[in-house]
Amino acid sequence: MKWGGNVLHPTIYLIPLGDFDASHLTIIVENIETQFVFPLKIGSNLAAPSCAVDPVRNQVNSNIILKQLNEVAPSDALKVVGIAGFDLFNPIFSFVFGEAQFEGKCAVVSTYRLHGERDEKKPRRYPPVILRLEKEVVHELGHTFGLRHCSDRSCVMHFSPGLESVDRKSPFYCPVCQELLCWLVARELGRHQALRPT
Amino acid sequence: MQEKARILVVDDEPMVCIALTNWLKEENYLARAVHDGASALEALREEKWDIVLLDYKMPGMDGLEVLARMKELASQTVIIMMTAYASIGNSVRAMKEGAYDYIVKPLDMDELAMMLRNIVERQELVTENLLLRKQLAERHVYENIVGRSEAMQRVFELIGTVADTSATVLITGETGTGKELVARAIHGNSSRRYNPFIAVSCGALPESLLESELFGYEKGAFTGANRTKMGRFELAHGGTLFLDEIGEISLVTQVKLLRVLQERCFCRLGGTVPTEVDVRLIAATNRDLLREIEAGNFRSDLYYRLNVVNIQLPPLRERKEDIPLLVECFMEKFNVEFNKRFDRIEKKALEAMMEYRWPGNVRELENVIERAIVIDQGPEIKASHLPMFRSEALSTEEPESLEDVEMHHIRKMLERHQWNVARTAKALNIDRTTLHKKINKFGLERP
Ligand SMILES: [Zn+2]
Ligand SMILES: [Zn+2]
Repeated sequence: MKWGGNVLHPTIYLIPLGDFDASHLTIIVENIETQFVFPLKIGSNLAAPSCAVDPVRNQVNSNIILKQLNEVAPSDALKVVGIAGFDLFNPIFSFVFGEAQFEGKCAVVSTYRLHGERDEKKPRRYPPVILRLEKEVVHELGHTFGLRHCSDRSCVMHFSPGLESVDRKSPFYCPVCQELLCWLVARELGRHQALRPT
Repeated sequence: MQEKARILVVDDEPMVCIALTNWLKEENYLARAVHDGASALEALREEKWDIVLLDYKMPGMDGLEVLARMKELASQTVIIMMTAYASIGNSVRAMKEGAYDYIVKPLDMDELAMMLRNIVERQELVTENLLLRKQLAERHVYENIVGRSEAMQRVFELIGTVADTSATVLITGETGTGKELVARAIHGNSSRRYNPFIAVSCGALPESLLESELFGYEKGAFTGANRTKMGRFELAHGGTLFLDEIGEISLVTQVKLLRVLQERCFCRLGGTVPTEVDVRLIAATNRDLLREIEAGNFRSDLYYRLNVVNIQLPPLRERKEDIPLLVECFMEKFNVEFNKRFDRIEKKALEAMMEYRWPGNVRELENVIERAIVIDQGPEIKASHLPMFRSEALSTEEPESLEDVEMHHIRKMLERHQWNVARTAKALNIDRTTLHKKINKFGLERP
């Protein structure tokens, strides 16, 4: 692989928010690590600030969470993704699965809407919520690196406003997005390195 | 760089503007926000905007008034009103005044995405004769697989017939012929389509890893197994498991695979409790498995289990009549990816493509078109863009031409020097005029 961060050890952090059970995350760690070739750490739980909760909508403002994540980001953090169980909204959309700072540092994803409505006729042995979460995390991480939505329906960067399209796509970047990601990551690491005093 | 459309957001709340422009960027639009009616009108005077998202209620000037002035200034611009529930009546009035549509706050992301896409598509239909080309393409494009040749039409038919059965399918064909696309098409047309499609490239993994990848393992199954891991079989439950390069797996793994196929259940490594799975299996290979059986490398019982239905993909050199259509499809695909406007191919270039043997098949053709589109601004793919004009054989492992390397390097150095041409030229040890020429030649643009 082209990047490894021999100087910086840039790390991707997953931060469980509220009472989200961090042990669920271990399953998706591996895919994310292999796709990015950055070490991945799971941080300790972080409580959402009370000002982020909208009592009328009973939802949490994702923009305030993103700000908070930016403030608490460890110094070796290349990217920080908050993982929540509560419902997220942003100031303009009715709900979001997740949100990222485009070409920024932080993203937040929620499992709240990923559960979907239970279909009793179709018992599932494996509730795929964790797999859906994995896709959303990889998707939002892509945005933080500057990837835009992809027209390939199986690509993880495909825009998926509903569960059907989440389930249709894979947790991986298509070859084109992968190639773009390589460039974007190299560019971003270059910038980081340039900022470092030598 | 060309985005899908230019969108102006008009809203007095800065947080709304940030959230909305951020998302529009992700959707590949160029977006800018202004906070009041006067600056909106000024923006329309200064530049051309395809779409305006206009907040109904703003201090200073009300939405309807802004709308009317906008229509005077830029009659071609599509205006969408954003409104709170209470004022839907007003929005209907706004539509009478010439707004294209309205959308209720808080916005439904899906609804907005569809609305914008429809507008862009409609605008494209008007400007280009896209509809005709689309209809033509549709008959020859099936789930991302392209081909009007008889051989491919037969493949499409077979996919359609076999998709909604649970039959195991063996896909054979040379590398780059699109075996995974066929597997995805089968999955996508089956009743399993909302469950996972899991692909495993058997040749890419060493023996020991492949088994734990397929079947998973229990905590403590071997040193290093410090947690229980689900295998691909489990992950594909309810869906389809695609085993690529099946000809590469060892005889030991073949036995285990056979057992899963027969009994529909398996044990994780280190586990004793069998797990039941409902998985449709599709396998693919570029090897001649019958010959492998003769050589003792592949079990015949497994072969017959896998080869319930066989789909054979022809190499590209045997369906050259598909090349022009493939070129067009890839052109469209990479136009979108790289924001370019390629729409034709030089006669000489197409002739060269028809002559070439394409050892890497469709994937190689795709790479060639992608490179041609990356290195130039268009609108024509020229013979000079094609690697087969420069060297005899194009190796798929080393796809980068010298010219590509040069372009990448120049781009990298420009970025390192913050696009300062003088400093970059000095670092590259060339003069500034030469660098400017190269920047133009490669169509490099400051991001
Ligand atoms: Zn997105
Ligand atoms: Zn993609």
